[in-house]
Amino acid sequence: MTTLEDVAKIAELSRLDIEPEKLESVAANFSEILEYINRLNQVDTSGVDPVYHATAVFEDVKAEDRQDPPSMLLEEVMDSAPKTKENQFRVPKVIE
Amino acid sequence: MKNICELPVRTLKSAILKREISTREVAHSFLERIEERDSEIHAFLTLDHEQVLDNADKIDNQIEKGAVSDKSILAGIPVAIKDNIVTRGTRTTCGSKILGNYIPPYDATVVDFLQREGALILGKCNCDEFAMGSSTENSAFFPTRNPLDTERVPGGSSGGSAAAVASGFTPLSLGSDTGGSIRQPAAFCGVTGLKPTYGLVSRYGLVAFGSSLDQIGPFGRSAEDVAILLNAISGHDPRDSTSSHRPEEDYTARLQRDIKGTRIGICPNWFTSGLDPEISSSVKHAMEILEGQGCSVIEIDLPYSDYAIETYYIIAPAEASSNLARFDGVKYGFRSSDHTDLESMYRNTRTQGFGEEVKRRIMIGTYVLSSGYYDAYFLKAGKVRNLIKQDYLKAFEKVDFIAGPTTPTPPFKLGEKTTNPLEMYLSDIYTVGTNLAGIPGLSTPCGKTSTGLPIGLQLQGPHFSEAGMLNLASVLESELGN
Repeated sequence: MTTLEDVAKIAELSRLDIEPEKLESVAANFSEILEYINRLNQVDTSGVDPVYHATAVFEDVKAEDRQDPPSMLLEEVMDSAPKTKENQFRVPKVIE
Repeated sequence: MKNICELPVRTLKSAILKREISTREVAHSFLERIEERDSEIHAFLTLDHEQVLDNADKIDNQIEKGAVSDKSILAGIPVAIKDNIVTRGTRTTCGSKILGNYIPPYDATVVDFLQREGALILGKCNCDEFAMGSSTENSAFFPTRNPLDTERVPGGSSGGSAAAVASGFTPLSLGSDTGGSIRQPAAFCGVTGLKPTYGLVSRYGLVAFGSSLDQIGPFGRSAEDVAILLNAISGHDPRDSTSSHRPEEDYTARLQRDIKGTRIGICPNWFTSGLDPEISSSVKHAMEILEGQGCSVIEIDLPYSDYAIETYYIIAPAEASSNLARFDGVKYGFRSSDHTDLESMYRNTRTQGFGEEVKRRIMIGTYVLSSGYYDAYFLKAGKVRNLIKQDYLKAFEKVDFIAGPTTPTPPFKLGEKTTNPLEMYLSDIYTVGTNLAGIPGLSTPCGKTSTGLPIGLQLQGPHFSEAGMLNLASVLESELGN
């Protein structure tokens, strides 16, 4: 069972806000999903190594791969940013 | 020439190269059909008619000069692209408000490959936001409708790509598949869809959802059309460190070959409760046909596949929560104007920019990766993933391919599952194991329900067994008279 505090904490870590009136339904939903995935505890995994990747063998990055990809155009990159100044990304002030 | 929109890719390409028809005329025919019906289907998010016709002229010009020729795999052939694959200069939204006006400064490798092979890129197809969903109802813009019954969903997340092929808007399209997002909509729309082996097709320029599971793949009306598109998009890419170094293969070379002696595994667990009875009998009928062609059908056991959904819904959200951290209103996309400092800018941008399902998965992912829960969820899921993978590897010692249903139900109605996320997740019950193991999976039409809804048969095979899998699908197509 996840508490409302748990869900609020997770939202904070995720940089998301949950409206106070929705918190309860989000928590209920969250609990239902967690309860479902908790079924994994039925599986005995002692002595089993985890895998985090689908490929059986990691192939070495070959020398010919160590080439620089063609560069993107600076102005096209900056054009897709919400706010820029002198070809730099602008963010709200972080230092007083 | 009649029925341009229905022609197999091979025939269409040959007519274009013989100058019986121009690429412009081909483009015009498909655009006309889109004009007629896409206001009802909503397969496309972005489509610029003028640009398509201009590009068609350029291809005609290249054909004239010999720069596009018989050697070009897709000379003049239209291809539609799922909107989570970046296209330089053309809006790429991922079905999300947060990228609602994003114009990428680069092309995905698959887009480069399509252009190199003379393809005509048509437009960008609707999808569930960041490919998270099984019905295309999670698109921030509008849902796509199933062309065979517009009250029903086309499946997802590549619903727009599947619906575009099924509507005859394009002969070919690209989708992406993280847990079934190509195969499930292919089954729902009555077309063929392939999720290639992890690493066969470059992921460079595919907006990342679950990086260890994501794979781009083709949709078409037949196994042959899908094989042709796979020929164009597969191959090593130095820009994707997980891209395979295998030599390139011609996936059309082994089509319509004798399948006598092929060993096909079936998993009896998949035919028990939860499977629609009409799908069950249709898939069993297809198995009888394959047996009639000299295949042997062997029962196999994949004991850990029962836990595939649980494993997937830990690993995929965990990877998504990391991947989607990049959407913070700084480098691209939407930024909320409502903020007082950097922190509130991040929070408001993400809260206003992401939809419900995306937020849910980011939060589940954050939870399972958080200290105190990491071992219980993420580590545990990694171990069960290994067991699922070993299940498949063991099965492939006894059989060449595994066959079964693609989906537990026929296409459902719009709104039917949107209130219950868990029920929606179960739409992927037969498909997620493929992604966890990194093996290829294909959905091919194998019949219809009594009310005329399409049914898909899923084939799964060992890593890099696409050629044999496509052959099996091509034989089944001929035998079923598709």
